[in-house]
Amino acid sequence: MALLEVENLQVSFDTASGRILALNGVSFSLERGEVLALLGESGSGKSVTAAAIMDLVPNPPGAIDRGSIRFHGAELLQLSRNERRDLCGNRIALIFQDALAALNPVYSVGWQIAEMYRIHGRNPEGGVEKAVIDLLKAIGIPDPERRARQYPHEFSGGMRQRIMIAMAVAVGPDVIIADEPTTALDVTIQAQVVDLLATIRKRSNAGMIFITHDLGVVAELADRVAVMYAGRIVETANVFELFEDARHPYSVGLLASQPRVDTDEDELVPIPGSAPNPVALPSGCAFRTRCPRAEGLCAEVIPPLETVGPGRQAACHFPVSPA
Amino acid sequence: MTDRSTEFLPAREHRSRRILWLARALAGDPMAVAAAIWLLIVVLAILTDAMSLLGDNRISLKARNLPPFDFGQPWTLWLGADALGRPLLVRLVQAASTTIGIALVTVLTSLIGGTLLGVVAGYFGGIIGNVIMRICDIILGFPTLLVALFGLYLFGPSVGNLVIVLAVTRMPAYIRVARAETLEVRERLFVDAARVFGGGSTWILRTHILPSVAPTMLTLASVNLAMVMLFESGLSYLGLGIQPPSVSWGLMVAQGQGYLSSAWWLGFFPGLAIMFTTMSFNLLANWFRIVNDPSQHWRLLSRRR
Repeated sequence: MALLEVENLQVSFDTASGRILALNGVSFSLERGEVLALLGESGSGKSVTAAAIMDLVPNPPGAIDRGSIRFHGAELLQLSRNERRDLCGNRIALIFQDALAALNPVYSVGWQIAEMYRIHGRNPEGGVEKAVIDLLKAIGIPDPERRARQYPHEFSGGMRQRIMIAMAVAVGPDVIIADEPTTALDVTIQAQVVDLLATIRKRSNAGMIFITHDLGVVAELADRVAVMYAGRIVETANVFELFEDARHPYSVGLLASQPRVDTDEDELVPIPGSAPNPVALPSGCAFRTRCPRAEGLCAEVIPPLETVGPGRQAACHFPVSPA
Repeated sequence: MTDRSTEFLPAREHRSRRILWLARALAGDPMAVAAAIWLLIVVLAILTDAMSLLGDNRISLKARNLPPFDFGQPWTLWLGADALGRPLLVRLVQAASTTIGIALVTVLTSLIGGTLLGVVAGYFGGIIGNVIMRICDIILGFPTLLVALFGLYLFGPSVGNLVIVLAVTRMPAYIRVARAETLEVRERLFVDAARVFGGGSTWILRTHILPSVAPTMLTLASVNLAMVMLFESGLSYLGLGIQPPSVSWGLMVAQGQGYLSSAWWLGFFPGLAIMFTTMSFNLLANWFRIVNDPSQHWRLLSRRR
């Protein structure tokens, strides 16, 4: 049984210009010790997926219309609010993108990490205070005894993100969802945070969902990648397979629009056009208006996610043939 | 389990050093020091009155409307005397306990009640929130003075009733501000984070919402203190507030009104006392807000200002 299974998840939002489908039948599964990257541009539904798992979809205007989210085989969407909350933070943790806003400015960071143990009634060996200091040491905060007593505004952006990560992993969750944890950081700090996440994953054997639009970070950390476009998963593949031979034209376009050191292309090729307006998605395949391979069929039938190789799927009528 | 209230407090805020640290923070704000000194004087005045240290409050027709600053007189008469020849200084001291007592109890009642109701209305919304807010609207729909007059006429003018009437008529302002603040804080990411990390509603309200709302509410309360003192004087003027021979600063101002052209000191000194007291509360509330904001309190502690 998979650790976390999401099946046919559909989430919609009421907006002034009509009902929009933020997620339109998203399915994936996550195993223990695995890092799954959700890759896609803004508005593709990456963060909504995280919000749906964490019960953070604001209702109204948002609603989970159908689908299922199973954790250790148990259906999350049928749990009561309180049961769900007990799971959150305890077994499933979320790392926010904006660590400064996610930390309360009036409490010291040590207090806030300790909050995790208190909320979940954990009583770590040697006391909460010692556990927090050890944790800070483990995530590479120098002088943890002193730093634990300082406030969020007294830390640099990278350190705040580490503290955010420390809070998320404090009570040893089974699933860690990282919602663009490196986006707000500069490149050198990004690398440190990615390293930290890799270490945590190795040590705790937790499953990790890593939400990002940064292919470099994906290559470094992920085992498997799910590429999202307009509320759907358009391709899932092992990270090496995706970089070596992507099947969906959108994945190919994404890869071509990023500079890479392992090839000697002279020019970056952007994907033409812009992400479709979610109020009025193109008929058929949502990507067809920007797709170089689109044909008549694409406007009529939405391509289903089909197996195109061992352990990989793509949703395209005319997938790019294997290299 | 370790005491959660001292866990990971900055070293300077540990209980043993807390008072010293607060003293240093107070010294960083001269206006707050002045305010604290004035409030100390008021407290001393209340204590002297409580221990009846100032006995000389007899009516003396010879000293009727005696002007102030006549240092040939006994010291109790240095601020002059009222229309019945009672020394003004003694009257001021006697009025302090009534005035401060009524104002503090009223403001604390409406502060605590209003904050709780407003936070609940803002955080949960829905039916509870609507009921609370509509009751506020009803109270606000009537002129405050009319509600107060009606209440005091019905239940009789006593200090207890006065406090209740003042607290109830003031409460909608607190509820509205607390609700608005809560609506804003509720959407902040750290509240979402607390929810994601598994915190229940009570936990979130207590540790995240209330501390963020409190500074605004305290500032509002310190402003309201002056309004309550003046409102009490208005009701006393209409004969429904403090009943003579009890006395309050507001009542003294009201009584001095008739003598404004011939004996200005009758209204001036109690008015000054009201002004100093409310200003002191304002300044201390501001100081308190800065002390409790970790990203601001360097302003009080830094040596180079």
